Amino acid sequence: MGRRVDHWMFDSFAVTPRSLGIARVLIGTYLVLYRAPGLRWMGSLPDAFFRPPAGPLHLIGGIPASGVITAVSVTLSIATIALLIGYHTRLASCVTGLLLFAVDGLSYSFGHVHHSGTYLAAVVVIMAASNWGGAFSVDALRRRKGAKPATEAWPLALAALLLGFLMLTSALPKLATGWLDPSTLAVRAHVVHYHFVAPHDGLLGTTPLESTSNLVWKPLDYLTVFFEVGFVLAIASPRWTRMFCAAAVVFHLGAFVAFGIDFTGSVVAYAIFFEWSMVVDRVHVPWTSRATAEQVRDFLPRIRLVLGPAVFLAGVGLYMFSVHFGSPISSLTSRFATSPDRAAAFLVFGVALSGALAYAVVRATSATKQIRRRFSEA
Amino acid sequence: MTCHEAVRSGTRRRSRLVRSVFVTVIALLVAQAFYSYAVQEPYPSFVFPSFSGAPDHQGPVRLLRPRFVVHFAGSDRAVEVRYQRLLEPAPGVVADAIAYTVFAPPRSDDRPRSTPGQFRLFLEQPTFTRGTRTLSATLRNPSTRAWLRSRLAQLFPGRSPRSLEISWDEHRYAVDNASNGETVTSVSRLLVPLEG
Repeated sequence: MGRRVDHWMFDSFAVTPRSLGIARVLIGTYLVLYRAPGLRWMGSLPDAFFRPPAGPLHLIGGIPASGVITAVSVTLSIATIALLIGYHTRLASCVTGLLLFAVDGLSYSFGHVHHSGTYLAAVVVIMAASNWGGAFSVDALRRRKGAKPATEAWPLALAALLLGFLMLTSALPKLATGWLDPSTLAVRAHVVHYHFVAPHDGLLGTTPLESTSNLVWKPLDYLTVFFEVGFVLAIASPRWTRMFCAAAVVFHLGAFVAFGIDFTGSVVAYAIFFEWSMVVDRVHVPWTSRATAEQVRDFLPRIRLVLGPAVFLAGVGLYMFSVHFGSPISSLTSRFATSPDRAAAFLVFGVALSGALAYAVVRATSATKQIRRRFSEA
Repeated sequence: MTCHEAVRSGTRRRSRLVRSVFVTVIALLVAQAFYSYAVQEPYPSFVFPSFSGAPDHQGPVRLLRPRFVVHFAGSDRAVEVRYQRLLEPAPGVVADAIAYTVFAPPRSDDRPRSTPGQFRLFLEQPTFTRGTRTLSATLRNPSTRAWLRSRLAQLFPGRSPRSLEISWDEHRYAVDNASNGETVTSVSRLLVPLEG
């Protein structure tokens, strides 16, 4: 038993350094393009409104001074850029993750706590221990030629454990409050209720009011509960974890369409579990790009002194951009959408959904081939 | 100790450390989840939204909503102001949270900041003491009133706000009949004096 647990913890989730590198680039890109650390509104409210939840934020006496808020936001932007390009990746991961917690925590100090950003922040901190800057990074280019990056698989197992636990905290209250009762239509009740709370947040309009069929709604109750409970079991196997993560993209998209709840952060965080190098290996890389990488590697020692200031300036630039225009992706979607934030979320979901579907097709094809082979052997 | 043995012993030590990290994380996750449900939700908190039960029990949808009305000195005419506008540029979710806590009557449930208590805010179904006129501690705070005075003066230049009246109404929406009618009943009325 101990050996199996050790295998699960230390080996089972192992992916190649290149896969970890790609996951880091995906998460970094999301953070740079999507997550603008906008906290400047806090300065307009009185200190009396600031009532942080239990935890480290209780140590803060009131709304932080505007200089502190700016410093936190700029540091987060710099750390995010460093994470994206893999510059001092371990430090950048820790700083980015902790500041994501801090930024979210500050905005949750006015009477509500949301849960959409927690998993991503935790993943970024956890992955600092995985050496996910071992490939596709400045750190990799600075490494001695021929030296292999050593990565750790246990942070992925820890991230999977956390995800399973989070899903369990969502499933248990449902199980205890009648979601499996055949006479209750829980999903419909929540969707209908939310339609009146915020008619413009969801995208289903009045459809749920008009549709009362048990055949349509009851399976959604069962599917939701089985999916969330199933996740806890799925984390025992990396393959099943990936399958459930792929399904979770559809699940979160459903919640976004019904309630407008944006869980794109979690969706992007699921990228750490996938073997991206298999995808990259199938992409034809022209020999010139390898030559360019070699040239950059040779060139890096000469620009070592300006790399830090360049990351700093890029971070400050990102912060200035987000102050004036919002997140880069929202400023892009504002050109063609009346609701830029919603359009931006749909863009992220669109990319994630394509990846999830592609993964499902690959798994299904591989499983079919395996079954055929077994039949032919028999 | 040979170099090989030293490496092995280092690996063993590291493995023990990782195992203890897992055990500690599991213990902390369970403890914070119990605390979130039994006392109040901390931050960071590692629980996902529960969406427990089926709200409204297949009856009409019930929501509690505030209405902010400003009374001015030397005038009988009152002006309604949306709380989102009053709290601008705070994001919508923050404005909602402030309205449903600071500007609300005292909660009658004993754990309003627990995870289920917070979910009732998301549903706009907080459990208030009905008929009460007691202001929250934050609204009794002179600095809050000073802020409200200056903010309202900013929103209504040239006028001197006398008081802010916050009416909490229960909105009932009949869902499963053809009319989808709405009925509104008053639950509580708070008056925040702003003069002096």
